Amino acid sequence: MAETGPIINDAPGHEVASARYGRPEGPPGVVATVVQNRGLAVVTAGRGKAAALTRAIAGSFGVELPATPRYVDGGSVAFVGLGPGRWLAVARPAPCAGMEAFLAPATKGLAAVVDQSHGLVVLRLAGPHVRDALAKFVPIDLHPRVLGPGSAASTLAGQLTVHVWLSDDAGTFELAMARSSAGTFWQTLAAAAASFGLLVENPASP
Amino acid sequence: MRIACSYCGERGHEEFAYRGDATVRRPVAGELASTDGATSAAWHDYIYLRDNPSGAHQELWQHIAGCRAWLVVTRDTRTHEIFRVEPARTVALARDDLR
Amino acid sequence: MIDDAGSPPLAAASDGALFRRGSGGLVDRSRTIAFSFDGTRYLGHPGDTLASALLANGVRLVGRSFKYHRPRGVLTAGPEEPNALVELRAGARREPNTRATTAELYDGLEAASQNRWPSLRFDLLSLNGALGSMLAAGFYYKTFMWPASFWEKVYEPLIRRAAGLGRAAGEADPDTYEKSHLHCDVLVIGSGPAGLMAALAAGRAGARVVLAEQDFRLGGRLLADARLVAGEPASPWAASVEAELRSLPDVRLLPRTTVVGTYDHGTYAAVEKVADHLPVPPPFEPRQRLWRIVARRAVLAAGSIERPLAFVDNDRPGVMLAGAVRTYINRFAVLPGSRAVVYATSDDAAETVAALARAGAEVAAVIDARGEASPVLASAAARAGSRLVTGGAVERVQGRRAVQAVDVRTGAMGSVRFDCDVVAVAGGWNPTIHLASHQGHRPLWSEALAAFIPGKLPPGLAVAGAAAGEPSLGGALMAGATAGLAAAGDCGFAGHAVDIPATDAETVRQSVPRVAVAGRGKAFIDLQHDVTTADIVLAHREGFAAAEHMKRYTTLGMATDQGKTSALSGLFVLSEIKGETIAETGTTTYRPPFDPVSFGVLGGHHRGKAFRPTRLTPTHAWALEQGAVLVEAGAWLRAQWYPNGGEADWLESVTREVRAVRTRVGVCDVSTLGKIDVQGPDAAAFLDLVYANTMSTLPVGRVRYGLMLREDGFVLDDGTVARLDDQRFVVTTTTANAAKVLQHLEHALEWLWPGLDAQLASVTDQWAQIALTGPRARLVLRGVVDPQHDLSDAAVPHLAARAVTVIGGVAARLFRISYSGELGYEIAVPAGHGDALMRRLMDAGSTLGITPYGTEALAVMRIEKGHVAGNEINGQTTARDLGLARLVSRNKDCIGRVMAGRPALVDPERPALVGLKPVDRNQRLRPGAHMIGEHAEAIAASDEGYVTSVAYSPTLGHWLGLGLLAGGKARHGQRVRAFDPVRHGDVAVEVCDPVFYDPAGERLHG
Repeated sequence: MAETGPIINDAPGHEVASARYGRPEGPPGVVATVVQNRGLAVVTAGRGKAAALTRAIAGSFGVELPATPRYVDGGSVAFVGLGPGRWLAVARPAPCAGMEAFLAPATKGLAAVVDQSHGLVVLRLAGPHVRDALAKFVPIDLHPRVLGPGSAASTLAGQLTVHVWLSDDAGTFELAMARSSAGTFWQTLAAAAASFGLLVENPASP
Repeated sequence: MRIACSYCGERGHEEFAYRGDATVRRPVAGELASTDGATSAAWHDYIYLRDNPSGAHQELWQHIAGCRAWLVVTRDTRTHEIFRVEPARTVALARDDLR
Repeated sequence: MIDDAGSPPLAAASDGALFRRGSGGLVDRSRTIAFSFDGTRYLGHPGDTLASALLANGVRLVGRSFKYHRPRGVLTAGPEEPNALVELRAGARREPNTRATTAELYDGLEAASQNRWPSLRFDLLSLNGALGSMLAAGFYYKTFMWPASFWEKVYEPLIRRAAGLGRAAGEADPDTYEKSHLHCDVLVIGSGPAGLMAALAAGRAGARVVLAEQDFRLGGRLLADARLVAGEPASPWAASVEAELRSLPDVRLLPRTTVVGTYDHGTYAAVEKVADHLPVPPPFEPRQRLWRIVARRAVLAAGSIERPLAFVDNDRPGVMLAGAVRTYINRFAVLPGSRAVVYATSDDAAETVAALARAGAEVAAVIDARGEASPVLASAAARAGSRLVTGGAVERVQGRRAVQAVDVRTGAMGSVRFDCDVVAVAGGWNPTIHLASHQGHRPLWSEALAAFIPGKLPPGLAVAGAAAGEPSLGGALMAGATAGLAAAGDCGFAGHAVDIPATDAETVRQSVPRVAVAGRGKAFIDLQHDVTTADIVLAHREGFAAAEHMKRYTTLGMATDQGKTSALSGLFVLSEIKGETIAETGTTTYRPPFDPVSFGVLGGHHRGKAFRPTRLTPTHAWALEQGAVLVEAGAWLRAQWYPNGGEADWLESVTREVRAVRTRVGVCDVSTLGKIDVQGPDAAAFLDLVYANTMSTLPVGRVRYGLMLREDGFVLDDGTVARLDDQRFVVTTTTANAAKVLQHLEHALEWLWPGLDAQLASVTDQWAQIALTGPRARLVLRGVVDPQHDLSDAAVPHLAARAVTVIGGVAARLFRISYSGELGYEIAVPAGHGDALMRRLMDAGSTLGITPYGTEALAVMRIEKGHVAGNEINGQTTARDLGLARLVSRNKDCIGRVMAGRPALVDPERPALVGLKPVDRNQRLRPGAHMIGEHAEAIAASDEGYVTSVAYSPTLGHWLGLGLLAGGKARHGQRVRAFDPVRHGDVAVEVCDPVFYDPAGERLHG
């Protein structure tokens, strides 16, 4: 992948600068946006309690927890299937009391809830070449027939692991990755998207 | 190799970690107090002895870069043909029920 | 040849090259481009290869051979080329061993010949040829055996100078490379007649198709042979198919892309030469791209490679494969010679005879090595006005730097000399089956086709066209269409049969290549590695008669061309020597890669800083502001120490940091420790099983040191366990073992004890954790913890865990734990608040002498306290060895419990953890030094253990160390020597208890 110079300057986590990277001409092939003000938590069902948890979540949030790697949106909170009996809860805006308190009424005695609002960084990736850029470091099949709206996957991004889901019908990818290695992700993305032109939008770093 | 994870679907082997023989059984807790020869032998076999079958082999893999589930993969050691992939926990629960 | 120095530009319609025909070919005559070879400037056209452009300019001598430095020319017109290897480009971009036959000509191309000194025409090292007997098969093994020291000092440098290929650039590659993934229903490998039809059939059916072609132009032999398809010349027909493929939305064409390997379950590796045809890659584009292709079905349509024939001096420039001769004539409009001799064991040569004649060359003779007359070849020879010699053989080539004539044995009549400047050899065709054989599937010998064809195929792979042994164009078109349709159908795409276009009449027959060689001299089989028929005879005579042995003894087929034109010919020779059938001799093993692959493209993006991921701590930006020296700890970057202006070296800085902690207070980011959240009704029971000590008895709000064993009884890792509530714990691991321990726990929970109701989650990245330690720690803590929380010793005693809020309402976890041995706390906040917490701690401690400290000071203090770390928990030590036996509960099952009790693991003579002090306190200790008896001889037999960790202790004022010493527990007070032959260290040391500082632990309390 093309080298583009540093996209981050040893900045921690998601403190990437809003700027255009790679090919400067024409509209950007990939637009990356840092997603803020989301509450994140990993919800793991207790042994034999997945069905009861699914009912409780449906009662509280009006969505059915997916049994497969899918993304379901309940408005105030969405759930991404991460593994058997395990989901990533994505609340927006981030609840003031914290994710564990927010989910406790629906999950008490049924699941372990672990706040990851600071542990994971969420990015939104869009643009006409988003799949071409992702294919350079994500090994799974990204074809819309295979990974369409509502799909989710946990997979590799270069040497990192990421959770990926498609949250809308426009084919926007959302990716969640470990905070400490987000800088490596940015470098990887910048190199992969260089030939298409990458626009980074970080509300925290205008 | 491509392994059909029972949760994520087919993925490349670069997403998986290999553990090895899924047929060995940890000696049960009741055996641990004793240090007689038979018990020692059972532990020795569990820790160190592995068959090296030519053909179908049950192996533990973890989908470490995916859903992190442990899987029992039945694979032909000669051709790498994969006959079956099952969640390890399901297999383990069935195994323990038999005891 | 053209000397155009200072000459006016040539007419745009022509490159002015003497051997370029006036019309025809697939080069772009509207543009003329300049290139240089060995410093001489020539002209060519877009669409040329370097080889075709050199031949057009009459340049036939292009290199010197590997061992004998013999003059060499162009043998082929494709990637199988063993001879025409050049250094392409200059400076940091110089690429040795580039095949002129695949290097696409570009404006400004610079190439240089290889293996010549001082020049290509006058090569002094061609004397190697005269020393040929020394360099024969197996010479590595027997010529330079004595004296042994001569090998390294004399022979090897000599051989490396004399024999070898091109020179590497010797500078860092300025270009970038990348990898990418591609998923498809049908991968078609090769775009000749079979490949084009396969892609068309599958593409029309709606399948996702990838068509990979190594050439820059699609069409394969359709570009090279003057054939008719659907009533029109073959190359425009190929272009029309390409145009339709481009119009299909799910078809992807990858020219300049060679599939180099087939792997399990439909995985293929391919290298795309993205910018090798350009002087430099365009901005933001890589030079090459490695594709990992996952295909549900694949059609191998890689065609076939023509076989050379063996005769004396068959390596002279001007000896070419017959198929290549017509490729140069038809595709590049280049006439490789003006007077040709065609030497054949295959009727396929008839097309070359016709092409030469059409192009205006004289065909002096057609030598058919086969005994019986071939009507096809006979009529071609008659039309060309050539003399036909049936049952003849080329005996030798006359001419040194170029072919001047050939001596031909004409049956009973004896020998005839034919003057010529090109010899076209047609030994039949070998199907290109490599990719079908990469997974260990052995090819089959087909007597009918006189060739190896694919045997059992890897699942999902079909072979079509010439690669399957199909000898006819019509058959290849049909086979490709059938295979493409079937492949799409297998993927659920039902399509309609594609109409097979009609072709002109054809007759193709071939026989085994003739191998018998008459006369003295070198008859080459492997041109790139200079292996002759005589070498194979020698290998056989010396007992290396199995195919794999012969290959290695002679190195036949082991050059960068991987024997594409030679490996099978060598086996044919071997089978003849052994008097067995070719099927009995068999083939050697086919392995990836099919084509040379650069290391650059294998590395892709992952070089330099991107070699592996970097993890940054929550206080990273703050640490940089403080001028921290960073160290890589696994993937993490951590502060190693914080230099203060005026400090002479790291030791001075670290000493200051240690003193600050011991006397005042220090802060250190310890977020890199692995942190795992363990919840559930069975969480406590689970922890009892995975820790050697008991965790179920840990009260809520308390922390306990925990030791994990491997099932074989050795120590896996250590850390702390904090109980947050009845059913929730957070455990820490060492930085290095975080991933391994999580995997270990998941395995235990899912596989060993699947019935336990406990849930795990890594929270390493969620929490920033900062150690605050030193006698004044509580005073500083008071400044960051919100005032409603009581921080007194009674409220937060040693080993307490509390939920608090800090810096104005941020939920935090407070642990009273200490690694340094001083009063200590670790404060955990959500990672996004880590930076703010650190700054607030520094503010709160500013009047108390707060000092940030790094991993070095951390290590010094843990050594002073005798705490073990990775140097001691090294996979070879037990809890007992480390003095931690008291932690291993005897009342419960746990991983490692039984095996830790094995007799050998409880042997009191095992190396055990000890403290070490230099007897002369001024002496420095070194880790890795071996411990031997005070008066023992310094030999391996005296070894009693080694020094694992050392530090200069500012607290004690001298160096001290930890070590593993045989029977160490009972040897406190004894003296041993720390002997270090690598660094010439030999220090008398005193063995002592490993806890050097505050052994009673009084400083932790109060």
